[in-house]
Amino acid sequence: MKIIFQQIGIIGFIGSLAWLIQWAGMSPHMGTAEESYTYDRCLHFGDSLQWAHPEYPDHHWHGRLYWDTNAVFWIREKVSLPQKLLKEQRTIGLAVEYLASYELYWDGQLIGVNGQIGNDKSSEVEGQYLQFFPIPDSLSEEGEHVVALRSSNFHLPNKIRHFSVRLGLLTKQIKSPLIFTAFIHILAGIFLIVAIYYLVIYFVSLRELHSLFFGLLCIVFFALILAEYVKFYYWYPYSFHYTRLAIIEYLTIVFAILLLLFVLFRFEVPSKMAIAIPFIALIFLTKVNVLYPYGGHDTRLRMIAMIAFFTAFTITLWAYFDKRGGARAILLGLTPSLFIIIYYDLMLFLSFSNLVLFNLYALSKQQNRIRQQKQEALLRSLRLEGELLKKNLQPHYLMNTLTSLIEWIEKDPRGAAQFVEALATEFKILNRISGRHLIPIEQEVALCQSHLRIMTFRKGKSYRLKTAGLAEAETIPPAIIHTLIENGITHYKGPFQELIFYLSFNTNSFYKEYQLVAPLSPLNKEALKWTEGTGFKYIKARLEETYPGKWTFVSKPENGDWVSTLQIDNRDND
Amino acid sequence: MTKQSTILIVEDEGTIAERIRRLSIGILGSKSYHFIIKEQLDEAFYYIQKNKIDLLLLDLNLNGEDGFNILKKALAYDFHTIVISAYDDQAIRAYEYGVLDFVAKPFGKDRLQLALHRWLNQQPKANQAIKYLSVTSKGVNRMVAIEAIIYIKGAGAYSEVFLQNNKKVLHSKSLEKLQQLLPTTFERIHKSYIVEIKNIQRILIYPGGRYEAELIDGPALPVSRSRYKGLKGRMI
Repeated sequence: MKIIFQQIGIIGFIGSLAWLIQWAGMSPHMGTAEESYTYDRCLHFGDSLQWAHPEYPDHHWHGRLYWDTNAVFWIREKVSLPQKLLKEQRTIGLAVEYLASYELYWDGQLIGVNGQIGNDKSSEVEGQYLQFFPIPDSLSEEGEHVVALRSSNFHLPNKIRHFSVRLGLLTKQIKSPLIFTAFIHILAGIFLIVAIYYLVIYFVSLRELHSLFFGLLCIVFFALILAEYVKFYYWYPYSFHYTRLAIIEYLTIVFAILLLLFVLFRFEVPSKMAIAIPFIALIFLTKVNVLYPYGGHDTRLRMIAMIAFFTAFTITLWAYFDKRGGARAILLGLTPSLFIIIYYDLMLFLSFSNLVLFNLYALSKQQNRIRQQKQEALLRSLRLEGELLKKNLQPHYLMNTLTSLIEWIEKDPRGAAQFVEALATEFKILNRISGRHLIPIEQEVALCQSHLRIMTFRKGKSYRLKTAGLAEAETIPPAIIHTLIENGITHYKGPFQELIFYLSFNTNSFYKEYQLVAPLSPLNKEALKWTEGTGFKYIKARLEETYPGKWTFVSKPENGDWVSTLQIDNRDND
Repeated sequence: MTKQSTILIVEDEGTIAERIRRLSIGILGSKSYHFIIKEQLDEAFYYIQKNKIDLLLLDLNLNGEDGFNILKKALAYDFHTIVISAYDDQAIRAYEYGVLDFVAKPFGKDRLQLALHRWLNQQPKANQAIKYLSVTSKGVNRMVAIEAIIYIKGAGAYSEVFLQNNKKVLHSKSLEKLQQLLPTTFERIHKSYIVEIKNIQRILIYPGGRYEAELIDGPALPVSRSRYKGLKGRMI
């Protein structure tokens, strides 16, 4: 199957892209993915300036950091400064990500302060989550150093999480993630524009829910990018950190739900509730760490995203085998997302971008299809209009009419004038109605009356139309009754002096109905052949054009007459 | 009292039927002609079977095979048929089957006069190619290709049509009437014979002024003295 090759192709392409990006060192982390030069991290509760000293023996300190705190505490870490950093002869610095306020000591020297430590929440001045400290040249020697942080975190007590000290060239540490952030915001901008596009499409033209969901999905993704990367340019106070993580988590959950909704509505999956409810339950369980209790924030996000993409992929796969429109494009759009688990952040962006591209492609194909259908409908309309006009140019009708007109002119000029007037009336009415989809019933009756007058002149016999129950405000597609009457006249075999047609109308809450009774002569044995002539095709096409799927038309002999009945569904009038 | 000729008009539009009759009376006069109008085809054919007519003026909806089937039936009879129709693009095909004339609607007196004089004065039909002769035998109608005709022998009111492969059919029309319809490659060599020129091998002259046309594929046919010169001229 061709699609498997296409999938492998997409995976290969996106995978290579991801690998390339990683290799080029463009990663949303500070410094490089090399060693962080730090080791032997330890913690102790209490407070003593002695503890800043590099020689201070800290083997009895806690190796683990994850304690609940309610007092001042110290963290010490050893840092190894390599020659290659010094080679560049640029300022060396420390990048510290830490949920606390602190004083930073380098080899016992205070080189920087983040906020102001205190004994309680009111006395502590909250510091930033991310902070950079240049190391004075005099203190930057190759070899081992000790970093000590005198800390308090009363603005986020009971948790010591997320501590990281990184050594590197100072400007590079600041600049590198900002460059990545800048590029990723280009992507964010693209998602924002695509979101607006889909929302506009929803509100202005297509009105299909899946467009709304996809637009919201793009907005959520845009917000996710902002929330993730805001830390590199807005160095927020550390207590905001968990709020930000919570925002990211909820955005991811909303993302997952929207993705599911998009797929469910895009392919009109039956019993959406049966799928949505367990899905939401699963997400919820993941969020509250029931599914995988050892997971941290990142793991939870990864699982939620995987659940979402796998479910969406499975549903799309079903839609593909069910031959639903657009399934192939979206399937290819979702394929790389199955590999999110490998490089979470990067693969998430690339996968979603891939989905967006394929969805845009599917959308434009759908719009093409709609445009084509509209064009075909227009063509059909035009063809009907043409048929209607041509009807009166048919040799049989026109030449016979002209021949009898000549006879009238030569034999009875006054009568001929009336004949011509009747002809003019018919042409005028035809001209007026041919381009319309609906005309007032009186206009149709006027058309029929003028036609019958012309036939009276031509055949020398009397033709009449009687009506009953016609309501002034009622409408009908053009020339339907006219066609039925024409049929009735041409097919009447046998002598007569007068032919009378009856048109009646009645309506109730279910339907409105027109009925034409045409006389049948006993000689009309071929009556049953009438059903599929061009006349009937025209009538059915006109009905379908104006009342798609809401009409019935029956035409058959009944009690010695030919009865044609037109029923139009009356319920739910817009 | 001179014998009246009967002209049958088949036309379902009353006004037009009247027109045809009125104009025809103006052209031919009413004394020697008797006009019958039938509106329905089956009525018309019923009348034809029960009565002798001399000319058929037929309005046909030639817009389908039905019309042509009826035309073929009519052309097999002994009287000429003039078609009056709204479908003038079918004229050529009508001529191929052997109508004497095709009058397109709408028509004026002059055009109808042209057609009626063709009939009246036994003039040949308008210069259109005929391809078939319509023949009805034992109730079955078939078309005989003109190309297959070698020669025709008159037998009073009928004609014997001799075809290739020693086949022979009887046609209701007299030799004179057939001559009006056949192309000019068919020469009237004798009061009782029409031959297609290309079928003549050579002309034999016998002492005493007797002439014969020897056919490539058939017997020797007599050539009348008055027609010999014309035939010889055509043979060169």
